[in-house]
Amino acid sequence: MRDIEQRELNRRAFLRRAALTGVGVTWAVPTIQTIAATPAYAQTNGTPVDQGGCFHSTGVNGGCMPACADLAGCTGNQCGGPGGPCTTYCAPGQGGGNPCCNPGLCDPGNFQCSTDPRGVATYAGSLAGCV
Amino acid sequence: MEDVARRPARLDEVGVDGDGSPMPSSAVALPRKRMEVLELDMGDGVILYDHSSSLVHHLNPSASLVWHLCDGGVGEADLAAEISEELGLDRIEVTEHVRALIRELFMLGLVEDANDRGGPESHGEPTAGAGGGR
Repeated sequence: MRDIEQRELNRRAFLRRAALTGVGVTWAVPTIQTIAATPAYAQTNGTPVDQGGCFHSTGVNGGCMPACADLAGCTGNQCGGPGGPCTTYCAPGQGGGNPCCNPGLCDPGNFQCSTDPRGVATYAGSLAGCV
Repeated sequence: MEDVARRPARLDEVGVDGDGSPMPSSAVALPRKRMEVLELDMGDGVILYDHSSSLVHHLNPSASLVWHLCDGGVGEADLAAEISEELGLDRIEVTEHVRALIRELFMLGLVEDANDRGGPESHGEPTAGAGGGR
C-alpha cells in the first residue's frame, strides 16, 4: 500500500515539474509517429563504388566536363549546366572530386551535343550504377 | 486538491479493438512501460525503440508525459485525472486523449499490463527530465 502511495506521489511530483516547464500550457493531442528501423534504412560507410576513375572535372579524359565539352565539342553549359549529364550523373557537392556514377561519363563518344544552345547534351552511355 | 475518483479503468474500456491483443477484459489495465523498450529523451518528446518489432516511435511532448507516467500503478482514468489536476486541464478532454494514447501504446506493444507480470516495479518510475523538457 505504501508503495502505491509513493508511486502516486512520484507521478504527481513529476507532473508538477512538467507543469513548471510548460507542458501544461502546451498540452496537445498526444501523438505517436512510427517508422520501421529495418536494414533498408541503414547506410554503410565503406569503400565507394568503383566508378572507373571518372569524376566531374578530373579523371579519365580529364573527367566528364572535358570529355563532353572539350572532346565531344558540346558547350560547357550543355554538359554542366542545369540538367546537363555531368550535373546529373556527377553531381557537384558530393565531395571527393564529385565522382560520376558510371565510367561512361568520361567517354566523349557517349555524348551528343544539342543543336539548341540552351539545350543539354545527351548522354547515350551506360547508366549502370546510377540511381 | 480534488479528491481523485478511483473509478477503475477497465481493459475493455481501453478497447483494443479486435486485433487479438492479449488483454483480459475483466481486470483493470495498469499500463507499464516495457522494460525492453529503449528510450531517448529528445527534449521535444521521446524516441522509443522496440527491438522486438524493429520499430522506432516518436512521442510528442504530451504523449511523452503520459509515457513517463506509465509505471503500472494506475489505470488510464487515474492517469488522466492526475494529469488534468496537476496541469489544470479539462478532465474530459485529457481522459479522451489518454485513453486513445494508452490504447495505441498497448497495440504497439510499448506498454504491458502490470497485472500480467506482477505488481509495479522500479523500472516504471517516472524519470527526471522528461515530460517535454521545455
